[in-house]
Amino acid sequence: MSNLVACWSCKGPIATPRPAFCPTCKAIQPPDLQLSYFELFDQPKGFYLDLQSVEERYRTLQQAFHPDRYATRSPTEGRFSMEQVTRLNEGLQTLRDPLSRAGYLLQLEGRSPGDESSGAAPSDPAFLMEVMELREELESVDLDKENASEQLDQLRENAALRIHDEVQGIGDAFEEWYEENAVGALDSVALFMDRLRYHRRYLEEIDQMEERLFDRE
Amino acid sequence: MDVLLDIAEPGESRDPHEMRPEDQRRVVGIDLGTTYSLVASVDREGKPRCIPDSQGRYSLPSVVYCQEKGGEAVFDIGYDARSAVADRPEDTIVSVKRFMGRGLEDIQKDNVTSPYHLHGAEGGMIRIEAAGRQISPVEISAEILRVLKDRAEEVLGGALFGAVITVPAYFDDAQRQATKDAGRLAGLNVMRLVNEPTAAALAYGLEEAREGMYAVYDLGGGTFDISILKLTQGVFQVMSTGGNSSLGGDDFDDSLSAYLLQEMGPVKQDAEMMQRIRQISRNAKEALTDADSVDVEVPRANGERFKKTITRELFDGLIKKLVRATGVPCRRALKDAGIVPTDLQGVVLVGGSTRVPAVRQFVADLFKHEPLCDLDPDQVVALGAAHQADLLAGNNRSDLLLLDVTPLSLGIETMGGLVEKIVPRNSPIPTARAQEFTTFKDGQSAMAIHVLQGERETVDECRSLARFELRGIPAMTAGAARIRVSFQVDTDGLLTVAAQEQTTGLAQSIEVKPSYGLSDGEIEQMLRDAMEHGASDIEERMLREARVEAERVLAALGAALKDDGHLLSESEKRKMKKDMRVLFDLSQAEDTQAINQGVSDLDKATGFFAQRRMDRSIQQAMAGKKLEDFG
Repeated sequence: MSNLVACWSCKGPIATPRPAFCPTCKAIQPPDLQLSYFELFDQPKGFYLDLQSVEERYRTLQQAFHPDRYATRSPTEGRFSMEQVTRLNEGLQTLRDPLSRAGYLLQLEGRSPGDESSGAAPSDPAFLMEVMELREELESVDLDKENASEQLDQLRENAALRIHDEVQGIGDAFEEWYEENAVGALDSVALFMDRLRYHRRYLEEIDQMEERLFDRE
Repeated sequence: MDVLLDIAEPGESRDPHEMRPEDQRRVVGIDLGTTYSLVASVDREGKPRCIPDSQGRYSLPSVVYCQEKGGEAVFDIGYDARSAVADRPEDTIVSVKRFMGRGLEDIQKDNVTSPYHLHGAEGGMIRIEAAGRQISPVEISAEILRVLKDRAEEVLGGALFGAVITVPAYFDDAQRQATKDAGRLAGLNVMRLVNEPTAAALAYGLEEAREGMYAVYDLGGGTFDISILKLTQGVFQVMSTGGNSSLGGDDFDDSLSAYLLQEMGPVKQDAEMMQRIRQISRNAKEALTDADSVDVEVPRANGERFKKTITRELFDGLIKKLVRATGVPCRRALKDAGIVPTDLQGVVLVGGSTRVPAVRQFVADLFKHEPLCDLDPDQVVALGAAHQADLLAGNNRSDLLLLDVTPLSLGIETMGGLVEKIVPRNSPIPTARAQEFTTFKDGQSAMAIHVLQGERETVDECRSLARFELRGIPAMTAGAARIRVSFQVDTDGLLTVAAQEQTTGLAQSIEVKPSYGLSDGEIEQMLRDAMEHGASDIEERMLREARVEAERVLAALGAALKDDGHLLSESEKRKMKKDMRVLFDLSQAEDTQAINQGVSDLDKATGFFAQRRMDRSIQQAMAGKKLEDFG
């Protein structure tokens, strides 16, 4: 049985999960936090997403919710419109990025999404070796040399390939979980996520070196 | 046909928010620029146009000359003030935008050259000493805005409903807040702050109806902005933005001035002479847009004249470094948007300084696109702002929508003077983010929260926005308390920070404002002091808000009656309609308090109806039927 809540404006009943607009008086409602981002964006729950359709849905909902549409209305409507759009923006950012999407899916499965700031100390010995090699490569770049920019581009390209692999790994593990309920699938998601975080941080370091190169100009 | 129900049922007859031509709201867009400011509005044909002054001039020089007359500060603004620049440079404030929301240290750090006596105010924005008084940049900007407001009201024939004011995309929180304060101080209802490049793109998008990715390169008198935007079916999505809030065409003038001074040899460098050389440099720069060379003459103190020919090549050499400096934020913005120059459909030029041929060439080389400049680069920002104002006021029912981002990352100070980012730059706004922190000492009862803005990792290299303290944390072992710090950035790009201890619910929230802006109290006081419109503006606004609320309540009740009227007896229905009529009549009159009272009376009188609707739905749900079946 779905629960009922009262519309703040016309006081009439609204069934939950609460739609964005009151079915009776059409007043904008506060976002229903029970609604997952997948439901909000009208997408099947899962790691693989049609990002174009996410973006389209985002624009459609923005058109309906955006505070610009409520600039001359009552302050309450303005506030709810702001809350709806804030949640929409959070949802877009969560779904658009593979890492935060994976973390969100883990959360929906009752798991911890992992530590955002970790990724510094890998525990897997094979990965540790990989990390050390990568580090050496980055340290070998001499910003005073003329080919520094190309070297950085090369490192970035390699990092992008590895990131692609880790994302693939996350996707496959989720598939095992959703299709076969495979034991340990979510643990391997978390492992791939750690590796992905590491490569991301590595990419940031490349970017920082490039910024230093830009700053020299 | 029941007349009363008709009034109460706007959903059926007409949308209460639909505009009839006679109640189009009078709104404007204002480009509050470093060197010039403009005001524009959308005309009856839906075309944005800049509003000229009585002499047909569109631009208002952003110059304010302060005098003291009979113990009062008196201001000359615009062209009237410009003639005073050479004679009374200390009392004539130019390029005040560079001081908006800045502290004394910021100004010193940026090496902003100015002839003024600047004072640091306690933990806040600088004050400029002019005509024997200390004046805040917000007050000076308000003077400029007031002239534009008066101009618009005269031409449009009545009081303004509201205004959109533009700011450089790269403006930080303090600079934005200062701009909004200046608007309020000028008696404007600031409906929105819009980023200048976004406004410019809006103006272009409307003219051309193009889709795809665009770069907007905006080089004004004192600020540089770059934005990458995506246009899809009327939605303008800012993908990334960057810039430098203290780099602009004024710096070109300074470079040429420095060169001339060097060539002149020893010369008395007083404020008057400096201003004169600056003006000569500016004129030379403008002439070099079309000419290959220009002859300049500087009068010396002894009556002789220093003469020099400036070629475009020489000038280009002098400004080369400055122009190249704009390339760094451009490359970052492209990277943040995840694109390369060939992904762009075009590049739009905005700002008077993009007239400089060396700038155009640089932009064309960098983005690998011949830049678009079909619209007047001086007017395009104001035109876009006018369009946005028109949309916000509900005068225009188009599907156009601007979706902007935060220009700079926001974070708080953590151990060791490091900054932990909470809202990364280029997050779509409005946005809300939270992060948990903990205590690091046993029994720690307070936690200092230092809010910062910027991309660097250390506190020293970021902009400090506010400090506050969460006190009364119950004694716990180190690391046991859970303090959740949440950031909320609104559609103006303004930040609110709140902190809450999770285990006890102890909360504290601040609007990140008092540190560099003016407090609400100060603004109200200044408004009252000005007394021009102050009191009446506030009353007007309250009446407007009360009417909006009454309208909403009537519309909601009308919709409820239409759907669930059968839950009432005929006499109850009659009574309710009578009550609604009362509120409707009140809302047509001018008594704000009576309207508010009417709203709350109607609310009480109809409580039983709401209860009945709810009960009915619960019964239906209990009967195992879906609510939808009864819709």
